[in-house]
Amino acid sequence: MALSLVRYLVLIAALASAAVAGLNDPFPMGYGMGNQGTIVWQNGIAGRQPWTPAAWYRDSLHVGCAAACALYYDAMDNFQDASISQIAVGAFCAAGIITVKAAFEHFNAFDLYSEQTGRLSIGAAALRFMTMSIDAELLRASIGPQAAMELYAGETVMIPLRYVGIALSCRRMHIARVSGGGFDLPAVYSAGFHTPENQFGAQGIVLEIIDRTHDVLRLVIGEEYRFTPQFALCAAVSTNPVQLSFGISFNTASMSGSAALVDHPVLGWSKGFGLEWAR
Amino acid sequence: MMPRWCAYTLLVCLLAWFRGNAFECIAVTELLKNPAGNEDTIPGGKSHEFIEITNIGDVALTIDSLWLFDGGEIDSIVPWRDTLPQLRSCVLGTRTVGPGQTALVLDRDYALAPRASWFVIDPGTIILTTGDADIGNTLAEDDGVLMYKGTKSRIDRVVSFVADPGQQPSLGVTKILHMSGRKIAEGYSVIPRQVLFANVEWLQCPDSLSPGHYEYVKNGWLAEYRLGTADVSRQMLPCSLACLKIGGCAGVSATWSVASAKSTVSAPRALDCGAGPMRTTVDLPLDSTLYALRITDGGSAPAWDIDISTEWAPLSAIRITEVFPRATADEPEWFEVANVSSMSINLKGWRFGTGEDSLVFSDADLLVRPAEFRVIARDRALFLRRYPLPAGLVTAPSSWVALDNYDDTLRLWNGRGNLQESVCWHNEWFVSWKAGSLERVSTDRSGLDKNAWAVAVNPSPGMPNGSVTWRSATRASVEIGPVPFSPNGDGSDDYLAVTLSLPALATASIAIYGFDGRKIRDLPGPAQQTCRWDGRSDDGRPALPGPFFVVVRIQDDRGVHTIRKKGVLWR
Repeated sequence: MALSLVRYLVLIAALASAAVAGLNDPFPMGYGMGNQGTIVWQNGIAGRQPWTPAAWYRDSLHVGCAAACALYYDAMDNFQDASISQIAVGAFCAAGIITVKAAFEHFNAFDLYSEQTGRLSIGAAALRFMTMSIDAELLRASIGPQAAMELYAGETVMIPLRYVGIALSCRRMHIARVSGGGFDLPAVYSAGFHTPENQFGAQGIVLEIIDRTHDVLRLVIGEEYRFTPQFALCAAVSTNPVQLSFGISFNTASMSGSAALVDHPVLGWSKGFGLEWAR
Repeated sequence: MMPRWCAYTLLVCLLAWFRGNAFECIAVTELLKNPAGNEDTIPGGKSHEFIEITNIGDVALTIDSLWLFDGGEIDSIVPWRDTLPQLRSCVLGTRTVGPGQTALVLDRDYALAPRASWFVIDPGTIILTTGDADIGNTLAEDDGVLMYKGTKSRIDRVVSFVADPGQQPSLGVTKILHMSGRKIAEGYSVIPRQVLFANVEWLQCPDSLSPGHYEYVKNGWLAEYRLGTADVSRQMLPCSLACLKIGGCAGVSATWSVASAKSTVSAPRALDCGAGPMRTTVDLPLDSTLYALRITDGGSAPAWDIDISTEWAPLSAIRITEVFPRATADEPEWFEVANVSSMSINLKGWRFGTGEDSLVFSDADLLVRPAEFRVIARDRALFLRRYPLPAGLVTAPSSWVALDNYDDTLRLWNGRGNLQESVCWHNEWFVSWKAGSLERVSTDRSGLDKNAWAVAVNPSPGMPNGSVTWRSATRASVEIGPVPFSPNGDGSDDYLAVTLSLPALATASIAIYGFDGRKIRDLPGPAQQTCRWDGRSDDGRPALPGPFFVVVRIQDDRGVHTIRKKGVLWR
């Protein structure tokens, strides 16, 4: 545990979490499926979602909540009546330079395997040119009567410059095994560039390094174009695996919502829906 | 047409009959022309040559003025004088071969051969030899033999004549040809299949050697049969029978009968004893392949099998079910046949071959019972080293027709020369035939149909084809299990089994994907029914717990399609 903490502290300055998502979340931004987590700044829809790090929340709204769900991949040739799904609820509160976000997720794989995840992210605009947050994730996975619980942590640093925001993160840093056999999940380090909205929309690039895997690198490039102040379209492409995603988002003064599709060339389409309220 | 030598023999018998109603007949019942061992040394080669004769008549044969001619040299036949230990139970020094007795004309050099190389001769066998050091001019593999009474320069009476049809017994020839139909392995003798019928066929002796007795004589009776041509419309096969009481049947009361396991074809009826063999004809129903001719003679009832499957077999009774044409240093070419009929089939005399050549499986009985398999291999010893099967399942013909690795046709003919089975293979039928055999996945389909075959990585000679159960599906299917599986080394559910069922020509590739959509592992395939995943990635790392996906990509005649299954991994 001590070693993990040291490792964690060393990486604070350099890395920031793009998201603290599910156990093997196929999308870098969890429910930000349409742009796959590349557009997180300002009013990018991902930034308001409660399960994204508090460092990414830069808005004038002070309180809000959100709910979302995702259905993963096509129906397959067994367990045809049982899908792989995830639901989440969350809330945030911003006061002064401090933002606190909390979320709860439930993941269900054809009623056989499930995960429950509680997340807490505390962010602060520590400096004028930088916000950062610390994330904690308590994961419980179970299959029948067997269960395991792990505690992970993440760190996010966001540097919002005039024409580009730079995000660095680490996530899934193992802190402690609470109970059960343990999973020993690989840590994920990411770095990204996000532009503010411009005449071409907003653009983002995220590079992920996934620890202890054969293909460690993953690149995601996304675009979000706002046709009107209320309506935007987004799209992204990722490597490893190659996935294309498309999404729409709309927002009013206090409400925003999104719907997205992500295509995996072999496993098929995933669908995501999100709804947020804030004031 | 009856060959000349047989006509001479029959003439002799007729003359004898006119002379006193006696039957005089000497049959050559075994010839060893190619003994095992070096030809130039005493231990083997020519020193072990012999000619076995059996007096099947009822008149004694004296060897006075008896000569032997092999087309090269004329030798007188004389009694054996050396008292060798191995001949202690034999009859030496006699000049008479009585009715029913067997004599061996043995090479004189046999006395010089070391003890270890002596063969066993039946007790009571009369041992003769030639006046010269060798039998004739030593017997070549294609040499025939003429035994006659007369002088060195004149034939008074032909006693026996072993030669191919069309030759006449004469001292003026330089060669008496006796090819015996096919090549005989070194160390094996040849024996006549029948001596009571014309056109004798000679076979390789199943026991390699049997000096001192004629295999078909039982209890002093010799019974033989010859099959006609099957009349399919009547479902009958005419069969000529001949039997002979050696030494004459005066005062003998005997009956004969023919029956199969299912029915009696010919009820017991009295044998009409006279001079020479007794003959009759019966029609054998084609509802069985094995009949028995039984002669009841007082208390004994010897029986001879009448196996019609060497001449006739139900159409498609024998199927080629697996072929291995791609020999390696560790594995010879082989193929497997199966009897898919309800009758036993004897492959004796059956031929196999490609479009270019054909050869006989076996001269010996090679009975394949219903649902049984036989493997025909080029090299029996090498095959058995590779596949430790019961040795009786494997046959190695004396010669082999090489199978083409890529494209060939393999055919089977029965003893009558009728085509019974034909299969072929083409390399381009199979996407991934790098090794292994071709298994017949369905005997309902013609062996010329590409859909009847599948590549088997794990060949199954001598047993049901593994592919039959999973390569004969009309549509591909995949099953995985257990779900969940837990590759934690506790001995329970440590492996995920991916079980395929595919059309014969379909190929499949199997990949495992993690929940994050990344490919974890490629599994080998497609030529095995079940692939196992140990829960690790291609580079050996443990896969993450949670959902995963098994994606099987199948390519067949209808194109490419994918079957996806989901599972859960837990550690």
